Amino acid sequence: MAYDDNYSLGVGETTPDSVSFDYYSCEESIRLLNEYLDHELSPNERADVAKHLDICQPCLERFRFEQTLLISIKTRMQTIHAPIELKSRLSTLINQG
Amino acid sequence: MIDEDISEKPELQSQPDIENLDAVILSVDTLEPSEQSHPPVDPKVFESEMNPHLDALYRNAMRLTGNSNDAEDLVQDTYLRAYRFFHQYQPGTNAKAWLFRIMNTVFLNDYRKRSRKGDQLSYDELEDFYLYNRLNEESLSTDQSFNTSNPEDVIVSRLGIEEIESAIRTLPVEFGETVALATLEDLSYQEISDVLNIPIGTVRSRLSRGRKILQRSLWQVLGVKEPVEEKAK
Repeated sequence: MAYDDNYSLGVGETTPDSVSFDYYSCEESIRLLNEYLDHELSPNERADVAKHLDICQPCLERFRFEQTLLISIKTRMQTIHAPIELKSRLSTLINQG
Repeated sequence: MIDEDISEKPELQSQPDIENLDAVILSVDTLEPSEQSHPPVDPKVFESEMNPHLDALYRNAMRLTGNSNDAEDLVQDTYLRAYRFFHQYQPGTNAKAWLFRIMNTVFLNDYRKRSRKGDQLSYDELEDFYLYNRLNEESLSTDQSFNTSNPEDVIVSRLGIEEIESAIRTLPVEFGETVALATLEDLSYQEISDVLNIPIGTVRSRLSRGRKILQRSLWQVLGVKEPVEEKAK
């Protein structure tokens, strides 16, 4: 088993039970972490990462945490709205022109 | 399998025409809405396209300027320039990216004060899943200041707006921009590339490094908080 406490895999190592050329390794999946979470991957790449997550619990937990973190950050920050006074001032400015 | 709903991005609309936009929007010294040499703009049409993005613009302005007074000025400046040059905008294209591009240009030109230099980190050595690892270690240690064994629970219960804003502020400017636009405002990498006028590869690398630095900052912010009140058992 390749995992140590710091969860680092060497280049080319794969998770157990995986067919190396059909599945992404942990390292390959992690390299695509942000693009996966931001929906920037092609459908094929996305499916390949998903296949890895299906068979790799440690990656799945970490990816899930990253997703929770990003959603939490966005959800909280999007509660900030422009002040009502600013909005009405802008409306006045362009409607009086 | 991870849920698919991490971020709901609208279908990618055609990109606004932003060639020469920077020079054009900075060419105007006065922003009197009444001074128009172009066909008059129907304020209602303008408002319907642009107003849905006012909250996002304000959040971005707060992040750029750091205070509400300057943020309101920057939003107003951006909004009025957009109104003045509405004829340059193609209706139905990406209004949000268009507005953000204007704000970014105006900010760089008028409002930028010092450029923040972050700590000189060795970016190539940044650890993956930093926050997850620290929270996991915390839960395994005898000193359980977070009082929970689940890293996700800590995030959901302990991460507030103050912590996030404070952590984002510590990022070097170029990383903070990319992280904020991707994470807070759901802009695609291509849209961020257009707004910030940087190559899409640069967007990817700044985002990757920026989010790693952000996790370090979040850990520091979360770590020094007083433990939550003990829940009644």
